[in-house]
Formats: sequence, structure tokens, C-alpha cells
Amino acid sequence: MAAPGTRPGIRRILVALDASPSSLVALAAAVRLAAELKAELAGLFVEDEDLTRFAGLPFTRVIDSLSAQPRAFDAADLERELRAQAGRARKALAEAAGTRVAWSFRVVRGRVQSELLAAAGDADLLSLGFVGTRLAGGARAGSLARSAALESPRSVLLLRDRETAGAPVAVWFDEDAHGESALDAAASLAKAQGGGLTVVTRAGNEDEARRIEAAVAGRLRETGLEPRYLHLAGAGERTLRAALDAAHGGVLVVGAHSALVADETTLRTLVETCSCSLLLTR
Amino acid sequence: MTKAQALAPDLLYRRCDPESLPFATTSELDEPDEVLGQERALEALRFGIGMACEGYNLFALGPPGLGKHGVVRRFIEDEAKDTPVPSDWCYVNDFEEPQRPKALRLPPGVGCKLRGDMEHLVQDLRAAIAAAFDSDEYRGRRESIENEVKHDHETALEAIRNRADERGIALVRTPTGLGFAPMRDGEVIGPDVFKTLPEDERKGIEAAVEALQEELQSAMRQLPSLVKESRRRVRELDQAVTRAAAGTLIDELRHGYAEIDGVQAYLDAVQRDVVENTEAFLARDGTPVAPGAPQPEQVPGAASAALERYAVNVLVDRRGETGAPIVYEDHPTYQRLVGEIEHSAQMGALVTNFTLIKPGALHRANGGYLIVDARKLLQNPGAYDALKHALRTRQARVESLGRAMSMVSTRSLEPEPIPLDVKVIMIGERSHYYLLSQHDPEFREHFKVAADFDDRVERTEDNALPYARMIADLAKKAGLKPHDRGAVARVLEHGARLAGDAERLSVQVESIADLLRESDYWRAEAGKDAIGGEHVQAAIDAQIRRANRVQERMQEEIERDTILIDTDGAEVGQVNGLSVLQLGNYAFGKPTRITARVRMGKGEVIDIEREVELGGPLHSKGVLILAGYLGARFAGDGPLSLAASLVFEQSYGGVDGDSASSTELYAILSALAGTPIRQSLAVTGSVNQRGEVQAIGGVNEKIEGFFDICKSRGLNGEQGVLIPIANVKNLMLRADVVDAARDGRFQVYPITTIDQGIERLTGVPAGERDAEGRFPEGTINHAVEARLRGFAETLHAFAARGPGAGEA
Repeated sequence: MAAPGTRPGIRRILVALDASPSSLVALAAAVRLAAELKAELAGLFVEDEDLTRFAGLPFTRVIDSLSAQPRAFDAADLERELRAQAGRARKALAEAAGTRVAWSFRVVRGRVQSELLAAAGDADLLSLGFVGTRLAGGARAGSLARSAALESPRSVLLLRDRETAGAPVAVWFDEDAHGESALDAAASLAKAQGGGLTVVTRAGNEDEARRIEAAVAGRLRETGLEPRYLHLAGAGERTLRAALDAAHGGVLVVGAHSALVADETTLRTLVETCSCSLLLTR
Repeated sequence: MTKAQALAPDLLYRRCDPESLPFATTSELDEPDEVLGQERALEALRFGIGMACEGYNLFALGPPGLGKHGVVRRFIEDEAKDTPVPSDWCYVNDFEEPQRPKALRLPPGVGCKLRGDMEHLVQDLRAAIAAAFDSDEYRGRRESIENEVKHDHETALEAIRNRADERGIALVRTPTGLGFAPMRDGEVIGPDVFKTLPEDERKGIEAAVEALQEELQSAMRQLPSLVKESRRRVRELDQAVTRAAAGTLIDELRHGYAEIDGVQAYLDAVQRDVVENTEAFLARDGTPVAPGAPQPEQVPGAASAALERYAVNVLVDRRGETGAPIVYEDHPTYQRLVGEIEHSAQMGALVTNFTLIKPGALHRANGGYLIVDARKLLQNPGAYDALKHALRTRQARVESLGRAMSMVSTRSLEPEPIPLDVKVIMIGERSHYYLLSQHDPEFREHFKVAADFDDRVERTEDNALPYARMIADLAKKAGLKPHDRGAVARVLEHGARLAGDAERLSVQVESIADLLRESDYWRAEAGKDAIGGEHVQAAIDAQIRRANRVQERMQEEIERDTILIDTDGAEVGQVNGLSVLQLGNYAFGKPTRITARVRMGKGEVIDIEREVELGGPLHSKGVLILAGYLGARFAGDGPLSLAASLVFEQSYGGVDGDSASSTELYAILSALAGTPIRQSLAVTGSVNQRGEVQAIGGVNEKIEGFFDICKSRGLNGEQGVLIPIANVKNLMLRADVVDAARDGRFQVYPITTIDQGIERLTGVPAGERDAEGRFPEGTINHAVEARLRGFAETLHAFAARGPGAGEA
């Protein structure tokens, strides 16, 4: 197990911003985490290529969100709206980060998914809301969140659109490097949010449980956190449910390669069905 | 007719013999049983306090300085101590109509308890409601309601999206709305590509998009009503949660006030309102509420302001009180009497609520007694009318003066009036009472009992000891050293002088208390343990010395012959009159030369003072009376062919009163008879048409005024003053005057009639008519009559020559 002081930490957090409520929650959580970790915050606003094409079509109409009335929509309208939206996103980032966190903001044009994943390659953590505003997705995870969770090369923090300050954190802990990095990230997040930490393990018996608890306590010593423990024998969907319940509506931290989400199907199910926020560490 | 004889020195000053007082010093004396000389007022007080009927409020009237306040207060304190303590009164919010706060009557001392209980209740409610809304159960149910709506909406959108997908069309969200775009290979088809499509396909896409747009539009129109329904259900949930959390707490509080209907009804209203206002209990100033709970507006201080609606404004708190309240309102402005509604400044605007209602004296005195000064009450605009209004309606209503006078119409509170049961005691001067009685018909309805305080008491042997007790009591309350009997005797004598009557004693306790305090000062200066007569005398002398600058200046001017007053010799038609000047509290006498000139005329006596409007009506009356006397006495059968002019020499201010009418008559008689009047004498007294000399005021000051002039010029034994015999009983002259009289250097002559007076003044007999109706020769009256007859004959002769004869 690597010594806590030498572990590679999260130095750069990428936040996907589109000024939607869930992206603002993602921003707030990212700012807290960045402040806790003294990491840099990089805001990214993607001007969707699809929208540009959509605006150029001759028959394009938009049903207005407020009035539910159709209206004409062209490239100039889109330009104006995107500019305003990017401006709002930048302002939200500046206000949230203040002087506590070093931040940058970038606007790129392209396909949202690919631009975001490309940018995520330069960061240690990608923070975004579960439901974006680009496409009206399903009731659960948006396609963007799903693809970020599944395809991002680095850790991903997916946030439900509710405030996470004070919300509890649960972490799935495996006794390997993935488990440790998940634990480290969860500890940082728990400290940033101040809502307590629950460590969920696969300990099969009492001795194993004590041993794992000692290991976890050792790793968390410097953080000053005193976690609660939940030991779940076995794996499978029931264990996954129990782990989600342990998050108590807050954030569940789990290694993307951990035993809990051993295959892509389980990971996809987790992303699509969980009702809490999710931090997938890689 | 007897000749006027000089008064015996004993009659000039009625001494109080210290030996007659049965104590050595006032420390031996008990407290007085009753207030000396105020039996009438006390009877009225007893009656007024005892009468429970409406309108039997009291007006304690009398001159200032009688200690009316103290007497009234002591009397009421005796009555009030056995009366039960009246209710507490509170104002609470009327949740239905916040503009009209409700009044709550509570047993004495319970108001503050209710206030404390309500504060705790609000704290408990905050904790309980916050906990209820923070629970997983609540969050779960709320999310389920919200998700249901969201789900319905999203399902509708999802269905449309799926239908679009089937046709290769994507639902696209722009920053401000939703649209449909044809897709190919997972990407929206660009306009360039679209143009290259066959027309049929293009039209097909456009038609499909149009159809989808209509569907979408229809689904989006549903959203507001779905959201509204969701809000309604969330609100119902919130209310149910609050009702459960608050119910127990409010019921617990209810038990403590089981017997008080008003509180039960109030708590019912509180319970209903709490359920309606859950948000107020969830807000914490400056901190967000628990996630998922109803979100109130985040305004600093908003939480405590919103919860202020459950506060209890204890208007009247009777904790620790015994008996009925006695309230003396020293500054009876409108607001201090009826209470006021204060305002606080918020963001530049003045706002108010029921917690800012402040009680007035009427609220504090409710169930007891309210004492106010009539003068102060009448000086404050609106205060007297407000008091009458409260007494008439028997309600204490808090209302701004501006609203009461219909001058302001801005929206303000209209607190529920409080039933009023108060006995008002107004204290004022007699003039106030009589003016109010005369000019305000309502006054008598509300102040049916007049407690008329006397300012003097009879000076009898029996009253000496009570008077001494009063002195002892005043000295004790002022924290002074005891008075020895010499001091008491001297104070008692001074009391007679203050009353202006040797047979009466002043009960102006304030003046007497001042004298006692000042005597104590002189005692301390002299280093004595008890106050003696000499200290009292020193205090009196010092009082005079402090006040008599003007008197001394006038005397100086007389001595320097700037003001002409003769004190020896004899002059025709010239008499020394005496007047009294009052400057502040100090009165002094001043001699004035009065002269008369006579000539033939038509029976007029010209009062020069009146001609130049320096004479008052009483003075003019005196002058007309003496004209009547002259006409009847000397010209009963013929015309009074006299023209006389009278003047107060060197008088440049107004003259009033008829106390100089006898003096003026002497001057005219002297002028008519041609007989000089002794200037060593001065005269005071009014006269009637029958020639009888009548009593006047300020006799002591007048005598002393002339005495001072004579003394400074040297007393020659001839000097003295003629006073009406009726004023002898008023004599309480200064010691030096009495001493001079005793040594025969200065005399006071009591005069009954004008004849007596003129004899004393001229040394010539006045003369009485003989059997034939003639005055004896060599008498004043004979000379007067002869002179008048001469005028008449001359006038007759002029008239006989006829008009124009004089012009020949």
C-alpha cells in the first residue's frame, strides 16, 4: 500500500459547464474539492456542433421553454444564445471559485462528448451533472454522463442536481490500489463536504473486517476522519444496492475497476440507476 | 362719633407664645392624624373614590403649593392597597387581520409567562419542524411527488423522442428551447447535406418535424399544470408534517392556560398559522435549510422577522404588584396617555407591527387610579380630549394623534381597544376647574366630584398643635433637624402672615416647607443642633432680602425726592395713599401721593387714571362711589355743582382696586374745605356711598411700606397709617413696626367712617348735622357744604344770565 503522503493526488479538475442547475451543482462540488485538495479548476464550455447544424436547417423551429410556442431559430440566434450561456457559465465559475481556487475557463466548438472526453484526458477528475441540457435524455443518466462514466480515461464525478454540501460520502473499498485511490478521493470529498464518511467493504468475517478497518484507519489517520464501516459479504446486485443505500443520498465513491463494478454492464447499470451522486475513480 | 385712637401694639401682631406649645422640639411630636384644614377636600376624596359609578372622577382644586399631590396620593394609596391587582394585558397578532392586533386579558403576572412560553414554543417548533423536514421519510415522500411529475413530463418527452428517433430525428435542446433535427450517423444533418437530399425526403423530414413539434408543444403546455399539481401536493405534505410536529408542542402549552379562554382561542389560531407558514420555521438567518426541504427566501434577518408574528407584546405587566395601580403621569402628552404605535426604519421605510404597540398611562392605570395635572393635560394638544374620549367609551384605544384628528390616512395598526376601568384624579388650580366647568359641557359629566382644597385654616388654640405636627412632618420628610418650640411659634406666626390674617394660618405647605428648609440652612450655618426662632427669622429676612431689590430702589427714589412723598407738614387736597405691588411671590407696599383739585362744575369727579386708561374698573367704581357719597351727603337738596379731578401722582403703570377710594375722598374733602391734611399719615381703605370705610387687602405690606419711608427719614411720633377697622384682624406686622408703635413713634389708626378719618387727618372735627340739618361751623363738613353751595349758587347765577349772556 502506498504511503498517504506520496500517493498521486488530484491536481486538476475539469468541470463541464453549461450553466444548467446540475452543472452548477457539479461546479460547487468541484470548487469544494479543489479547495480541499489545492487543485486547479478548469471550466469547459462546449459549443455543440450539432446545434450549429440544427440552426442552419431551413425549417428549424424551436419550441420556447417558457411559452411553449414555436419560433424561428437561425445561426445568429444560436450564436447569441451560446455566447450568453458561456458568459453565464464563466461568471458562475468566477463567483464560485473566487480567490480560493485557481481556475481557467475555455470555450471549444465540437461534439460535446468527444470534446469533453478529450479535455478530460488532461485532467485528473472530470466533474459534471448527471443531466446535461444538450439533449433531452432519459429520466436517469444523460447520454453524456453515461459515456463520460464509461469512457473517461480519468476519474469522473457525476452529480445529481441537488446541493452536496453536508451530504454524506460512502466509499466502496477493495484492498488494492484501486480501492486505496477510491478511499483517498472519498476522504478528500468527505472533508470537502463535511457530511461524514462510510467505508463499505467486502469483509467476509469479523477478523477480516477488523483487519480492513485497521488498514483504512491507518490510511485515513492524517485526514482526521473517523469513518463508519459497513461490511457486506459477497458481490452482485444486492451488494450494489446496499452500497448505494450507504451513500444515503449523498455521494458513492467507487473504483471504476473495483470488484463491485467488475464488468461494464454493472457499471452501466450503476450509472443509469443510482439516485445519488457518483464518483468513479480511475 | 368717637375719635379714632391708635391701636394698642398687641393688636398689631398676634404673637404665638412658645411657652403655650406643649413640647420642647418637634422630634417629640407624632405624625399628624389628618391633613390640617382640608376636611372638605378629604370628604370629597373619600366620596369620589368610593363612588364606583361612571363619571365620578375627581378634580382636586386649590392654589398651587398646598401639597394636593401628596394628600391625594397618600389618600389613594390607603384605598388602593386592599383592592385586588387588576389584569395583565397583552397584544398578540391577529393572523387573519394583522392590521388589527388582538388584546388578551390575563390574570396578573401571567402576561410575561405567556410571552416566555411562546418564545420557547417558537424555538421548539423550529427544532421540531426542521427535524421533521430533515427526515428521510419526508425527503422520500417529497422526492416521490416531484419525481412523479418529472417522470410524467419526461415520459411524455421520452415518448416523443422515441417517436422522433424512429424517424431518424433527434430532440435537440438549445439554451432557450427544444427543437427537432434530422440525424444521420449519430449527427445532426447539416444544411449543406440537407439541400442535397431528394425533395421527397426533404419534405418528409419537414412534415415529420412539424408533426413532432406539435406533439412537443402539446406536451410542454401540460408542464405548468403538472408543476402546479406537484406544488399543491408538496404543500399538503408540508402542512401534514408541520401539523404533526407542532400539534403536540402546542397542546402541551395549552394545558398551562386551561382556564383562560382568550389564550385557548389564540393558541388555536397559532396552530392554524404555523401549518400555513412552515417556511418561516425552516429558515435560518444566513444559512441554507436542509436539502430538499421547502426553501424560503434568504434575506438576512428574515427568519426572526417572520417568527415575530408569534410574539406576545406584554402591554401591562402586573408582576410583583400589590393592590390597584396608582399612576401619576407627569408628562401627559397624547401619546403618553393613550399609548403609541412605534415604527422602525427598514430600508428607508417606516414599518410597524403589533410588537411595537406601547402602553399609555391609561393602560398602566387600568383597574386603578390615574393622576394628572390639569394644566399639563390642557397644554398638550389632544390629551384632554383623548382622556375624555377614553372615559366616555370606557376603552383604552391606541391610535396616533394624526389618525385621531383625521390628519393622516396612511395604513397603520388598529389595535383592539382594551376595556377601561380607571378613576381619574385631575389636579389643578381653581381657575382651571371653573373654566372647564364653564366652557366644556362634558367636563361635569366626567368629573363629578370636586375636592376643593383650602389654603388657610382658622388660627385657634386647638389648631396650634396640629399645625406644629404638620411642621414636624414636613421637616421630617425633608430630612431636617427638629425645630424647637420657639421656631415652631415663629413659623406659625409666619403662617398667619402668609394667610394675611392674624386669625388664620396658611396651609400652603410648599411655602412653609421652603421656610423650614431654609431655616435648617441657617441653623447649620450657626452650628446648632435644633432649629430655633432666630433661624426661622433669618430665613424670612433672607427671603425678603433676596426679593426686595425693586422695593429698595423705589424707597431710594422717595428718599431722594425723585418720587414726591411728604412724611410731615400738611397740604390741602393731598393725601398719602398706599398701594401694593406684587413681584413674583413677593408683595410690598408703596406710598403714592394722591391729589385732588376742585372747581365749579356739573357734579363730575374726574378720575385722571381712568381718563388715560391707566385705571381699572374697580378703581373707577371706587371713584364713582365717592361722587355718590359727596352728592348725597352735601347736595341732597340741590345740584352738586362740583368738578373734581383726582390723580395718583407719579404713577405710570396701571392702578386698580378700590382701596384708595377713601383716600381720594379725603383729598377731595380737604380740597373743598381748604383744610390741609397731615402728611405724616398715610391712608388705605375703600369707602361706600354711606361714608363707611371698608376692608382692603395687603394691609400689612401697606403699613410697612409707609413705615419704611418714615423710618428712613426719622420717626417723629406723628407718623402713622389709617386703616379700615375691619382690617385690624389682619394685622401681622413686622417686629420693627410693632416696636415703633410700642415706643409711640408710629401709630396705626382703625377707621370706621370718613368723618373719623378726616378728623384724624386734619385735626379738625368733621361735624355732624344739628337738629336743623346744618353742620356746625368750624367743622370740615360745614366748610365742604358751604363750598359746594357756593359753587351751586355761582352756577345758578351763570345760568340765570342765560345763554349768550356770558358773551356780552
